[in-house]
Amino acid sequence: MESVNPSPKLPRILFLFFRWYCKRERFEELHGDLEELYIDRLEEEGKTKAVLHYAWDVLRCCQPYAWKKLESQLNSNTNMISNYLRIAVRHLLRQPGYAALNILGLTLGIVSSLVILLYLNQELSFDNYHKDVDLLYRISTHFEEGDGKKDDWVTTQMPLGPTVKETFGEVSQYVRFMSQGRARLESNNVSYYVEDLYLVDSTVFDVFTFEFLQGDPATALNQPNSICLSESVARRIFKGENPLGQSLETDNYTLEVKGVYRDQPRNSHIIANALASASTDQNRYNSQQWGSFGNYTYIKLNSAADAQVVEDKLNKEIMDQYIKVIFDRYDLTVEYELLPIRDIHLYSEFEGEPQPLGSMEYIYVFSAVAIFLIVIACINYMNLATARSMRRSLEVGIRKTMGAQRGTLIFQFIAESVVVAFTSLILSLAILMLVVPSINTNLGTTLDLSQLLSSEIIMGIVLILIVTGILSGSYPAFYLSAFTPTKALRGAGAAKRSGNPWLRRGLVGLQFAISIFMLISTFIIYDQMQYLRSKDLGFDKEQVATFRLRGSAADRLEILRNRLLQNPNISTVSSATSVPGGGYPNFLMPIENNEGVMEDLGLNTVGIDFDFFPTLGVEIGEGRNFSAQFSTDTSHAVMVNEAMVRRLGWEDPIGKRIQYSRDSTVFHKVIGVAKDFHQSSLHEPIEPLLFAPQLSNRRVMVRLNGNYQETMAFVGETWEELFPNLPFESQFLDQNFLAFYEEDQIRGNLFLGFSIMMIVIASLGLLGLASFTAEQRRKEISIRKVLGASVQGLISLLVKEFVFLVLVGALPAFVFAYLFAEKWLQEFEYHVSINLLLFVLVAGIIMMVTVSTTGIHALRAAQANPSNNLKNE
Amino acid sequence: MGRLYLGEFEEVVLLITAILYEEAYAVAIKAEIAEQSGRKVNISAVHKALYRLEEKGMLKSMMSDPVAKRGGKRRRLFRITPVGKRALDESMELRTKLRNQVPEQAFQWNQ
Repeated sequence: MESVNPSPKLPRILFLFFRWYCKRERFEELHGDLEELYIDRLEEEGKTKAVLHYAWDVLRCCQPYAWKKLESQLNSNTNMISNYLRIAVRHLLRQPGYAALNILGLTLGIVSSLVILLYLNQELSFDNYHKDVDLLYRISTHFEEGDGKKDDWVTTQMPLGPTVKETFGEVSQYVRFMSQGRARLESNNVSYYVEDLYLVDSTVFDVFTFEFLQGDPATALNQPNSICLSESVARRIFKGENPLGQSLETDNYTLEVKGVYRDQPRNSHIIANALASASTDQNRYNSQQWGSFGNYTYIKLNSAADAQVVEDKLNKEIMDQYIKVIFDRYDLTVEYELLPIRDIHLYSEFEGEPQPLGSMEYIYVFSAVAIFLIVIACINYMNLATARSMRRSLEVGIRKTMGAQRGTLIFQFIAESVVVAFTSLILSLAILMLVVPSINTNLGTTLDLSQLLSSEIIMGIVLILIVTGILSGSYPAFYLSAFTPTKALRGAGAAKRSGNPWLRRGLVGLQFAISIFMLISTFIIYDQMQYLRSKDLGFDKEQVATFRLRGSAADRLEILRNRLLQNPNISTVSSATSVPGGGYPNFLMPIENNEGVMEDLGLNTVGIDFDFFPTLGVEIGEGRNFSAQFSTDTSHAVMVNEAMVRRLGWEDPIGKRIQYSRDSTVFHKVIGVAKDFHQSSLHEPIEPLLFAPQLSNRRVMVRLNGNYQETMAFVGETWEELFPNLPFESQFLDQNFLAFYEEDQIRGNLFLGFSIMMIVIASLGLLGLASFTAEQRRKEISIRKVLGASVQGLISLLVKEFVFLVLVGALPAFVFAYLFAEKWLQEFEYHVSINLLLFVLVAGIIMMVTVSTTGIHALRAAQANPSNNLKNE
Repeated sequence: MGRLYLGEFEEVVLLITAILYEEAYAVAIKAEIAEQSGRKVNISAVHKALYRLEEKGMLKSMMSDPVAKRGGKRRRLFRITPVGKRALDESMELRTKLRNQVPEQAFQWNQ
């Protein structure tokens, strides 16, 4: 047996299931067949499909020919268990309304928790799919300037990767990514836009795991002017044709398609829709510029290497040899950090990440929400089960008289709750299959149902089953099994017949507290989202359309501008190197400080034309805007924003001097200070900005008046005339900004969904409890009524207990909600203040829901004819 | 002995088993069915048919040597028996006999 391969890695839980039902004599041949099929499919269809197929086969093979003999399993124990299950099912069927309430509540709870589980699983599994993921690191950079201003960038310099690999034995491979952003690819004279094209070293496939569908990863990017496409891009451009060997034009290069890879999983911190060889851009590829930070650098360590050691060496040797010589004279300190790539999504605090990040805090928050949901659903179950215990006391009495031990009774009641939990679980899984696609479209999430088969999720499901089935079943079980037979048979020990009311009240109070907490948090999140949308950004983001001029199109900017301005609904047209919502480069430049000394500082720089501020509606605070009337403006003037004035501590900003570089003999003078406006999202503070006059740029902004749809159509037509080969693509600035808050918005939506869910579940419990209380006190109510009590009086008698519980639950909820909100809002540089009126509002809503659910039953009880209820006495 | 009953799918499996001769085990049979008839069946259907045919005495089986591809597990190889052959022949004969009795007019639809 030496030459035998180990069994392929099959999902253990499915394997165990198969081994459990399969008879021993046939196990070898049957599972052997399944393994063989799995291996064949692994090659043909990839891992996910092969696993799904295997799961299907295991289920399909579960047939009589494979089963173990039933005789060997049949003994008295299984008889007892099947009897318990039968009794449990009968009880549920005898009180269908109550069973439905229970199962519905639990089902809603489990569905919501599973949705959260899927979300968390996705967030926690980022980049895990890469081979040797533990050896992969990204090098990022911390900067600190002389005046204490700090920056953390994900980017590094071009020569870093090759140098590190050459110098340090610990580094086995490197790859550099240069973002080309949104790129135009032209095939047979038709242009396609592709998000996220990267220029990369040919080593990319040694470091990261890409699944190749066509072409050879070992050689695909070895030559300049090679490109590999993701499957979806390849299909979009080439439809059914074979992409290999086809040529694609970009604005700058002609590329040949050398490979097609499967679209990267969504849980990747960097997603490339196309990868072109870095050697295509020979200048940058061979660049020895240690002073410019513009590309991502990833390294793969040897398995024996210690990342900390490598980081220390980087900060010593590389720093001393290449970097200090450049930056020491500017009083700028640089420090590298090695971040494991699987930590990037949740822990990175660097600027310029290629994809939106998650955060550990949200992982905790959502875990807590999932637990809350399950707890609320379990409380429902416990309350309803103990409250109804009176009905079971007769059965318990008889069982005990017949010789049942307490242990077996406990087991029986737990079996009952497991039946309920299991039914809910099956229902939940079915519902989940149905709702996940619509959750994805409505809330903007990207949940993946195939993850349900992953071991983490299966563990989670088992855990939910145990918690809901056994824990929530155990209290009623212990409580019911403790009845003494004599009391139980005599009429259910009248005094204690419905469980400890204080425990039940406590649990209901807890439900109220959790619901109130969730609802307040949701409202605050919504308040903040609303604020983000409507906050005055310092410029007018409505009605400004923006688009890009690519390649040679930039040469015809003036013609385009003149044509557009002929339309009376277009008031201004401006071009700049970046528009609000986009990034901007940072250059080291000598700038005059308040003492009149030239000091080197890293300055965020935007090139703008004369119409930039009027187009955006940004006001000029001091001085004046660039103007065509001053011939020296283009060569000798600059402008800054107020944040820059604050950074430099200038008392009189006008006339302060700036050099574009140390060696330059030209001194540019500040002629005006623009009022602060939000260049980026409200997560970030307003950055100091330097505005350099530059007449022709690639980012164009157009301010529209009146009917923007008609005007946009006009812009599109004009574009068509001037650039017939380029598709016209524009965005509105406010869209740009909304994109920043997409993740916040998704989380807000999830939160809203879950808190509604919680309130629904809690109300279901209340409904059950209220109907029970009303029924239990039927006779009391009838007697009170006969003695002259009013209907309102009777309702308030039944409802006031719950109202009291809402008030008690609200107190801790207020405190925790306040603390949570305060912490959450701090993530935003600009945020709303906490509105205490909201707290009262939420308590009011919960109060109303409570009064109306319990009130219905109270009303029915109070209106009943007393003679019907009392005739049996 | 009376007529040997053979279901339609069982007949296909029996034939394929005979065709594959020494290489006849469930996975190969499933693949051959797909190849020859374009019919995609689940492995469990093949298992079920094989075991039933063995019960009816139309197939006999033995275990192979361990196979590396399946983690060192052995395959169950099936072989057709004389009874199996008789069942095939009878089934074929019956069909031919019945087919030959169909009057030519039954296949004329033009009028």
